[in-house]
Amino acid sequence: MSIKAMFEAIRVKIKYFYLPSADDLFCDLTPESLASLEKIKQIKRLRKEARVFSTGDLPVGIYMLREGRAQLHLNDESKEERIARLIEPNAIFGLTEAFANLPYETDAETITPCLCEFIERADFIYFLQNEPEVCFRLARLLALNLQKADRLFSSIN
Amino acid sequence: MKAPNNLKIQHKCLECNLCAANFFCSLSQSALQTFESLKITNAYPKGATLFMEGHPSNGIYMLCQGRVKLSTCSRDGKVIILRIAEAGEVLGLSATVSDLNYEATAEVLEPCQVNFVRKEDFLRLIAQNAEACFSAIKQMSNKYHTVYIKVRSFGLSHTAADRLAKLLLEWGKANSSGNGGIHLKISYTHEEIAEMIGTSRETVTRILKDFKDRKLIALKGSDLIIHDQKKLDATIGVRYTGDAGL
Repeated sequence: MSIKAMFEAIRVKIKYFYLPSADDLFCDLTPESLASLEKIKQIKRLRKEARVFSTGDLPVGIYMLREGRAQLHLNDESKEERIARLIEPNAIFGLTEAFANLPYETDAETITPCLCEFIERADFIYFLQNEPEVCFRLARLLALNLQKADRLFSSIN
Repeated sequence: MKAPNNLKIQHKCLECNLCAANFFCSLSQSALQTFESLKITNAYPKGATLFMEGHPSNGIYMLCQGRVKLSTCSRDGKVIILRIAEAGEVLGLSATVSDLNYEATAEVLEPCQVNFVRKEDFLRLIAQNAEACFSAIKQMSNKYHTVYIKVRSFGLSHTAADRLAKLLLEWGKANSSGNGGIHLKISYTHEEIAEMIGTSRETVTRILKDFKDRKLIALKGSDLIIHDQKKLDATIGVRYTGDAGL
């Protein structure tokens, strides 16, 4: 396989890095739970081409895209190659980094003006501690995502 | 139970002195008590297989001590090492939680102690206990993060030489001496290193010799010295005429 073809293959495969949607996670919440979730949400309006977070930043919370489109870039410092993953409305991003409490491995940037909901890491963790069902749902989503990521890695190799 | 290689088996989770903060079982006393009531302790010798890729998941394997190799097989039958699991990790976690087949084969590298929990019991535990569920989420997030780094590191490398240089630098991160030099004890065969970076054993041997000839590294038995991290790092992405990895 040529280098160009290899990079193209990775670009296609990277799309399988699944981003959970807010519906996957917060469906069927009781009115009380929904109210406590609303309380911890912050609304962020972002202009076109705004940087949401950068590779190496420490995670401060999770993001849910409500309107607009954004992109995740996986960078290689040595050759400045970039891989994009489109973030569609309703997707949650920055989730795994928030839990692992490790620096972001991607850059997140808006493509169009966006409306984003943000929940601080500590608030989200507190919310989950009181919502075992959401916690379990999140574990399931992450497990599926991890299986896909492992498959992606082995297919790249 | 007779433990392999004089492994000191820790039967009681509540009295365990192996547990560190990053371990899955770093839980409160009550959650740990529940975990203890569900687990079955086993000891395995080097070479034993805990589970096989593609087999239906039947539970999780909490690695208390020892090291386990997680590998998968590509479509063309090539073995790829996904990672080497260390003590504290839960193996088979994503397959068990997602109720899918095991995504990898787990083979014991060093004699180990494993606490096994059946799938139904584990799913009940994390569904009912937010703390245990949290610990599982944290484990999976960490692993996911590692895969991301690997995809960036290896997926975007043009040559096997680049991938090997990145792997050596990654291993060296924890062993840096401060003056740019790194001393590593390599416990893997060339074959295993090849399986980690998706190349052949011959290519790994050739690249290591090439690095040695270019005075980037020194090799003495299982000891590997990286003379200057910056120099080795600078070779990444640069085509060298004598580059054996192309």
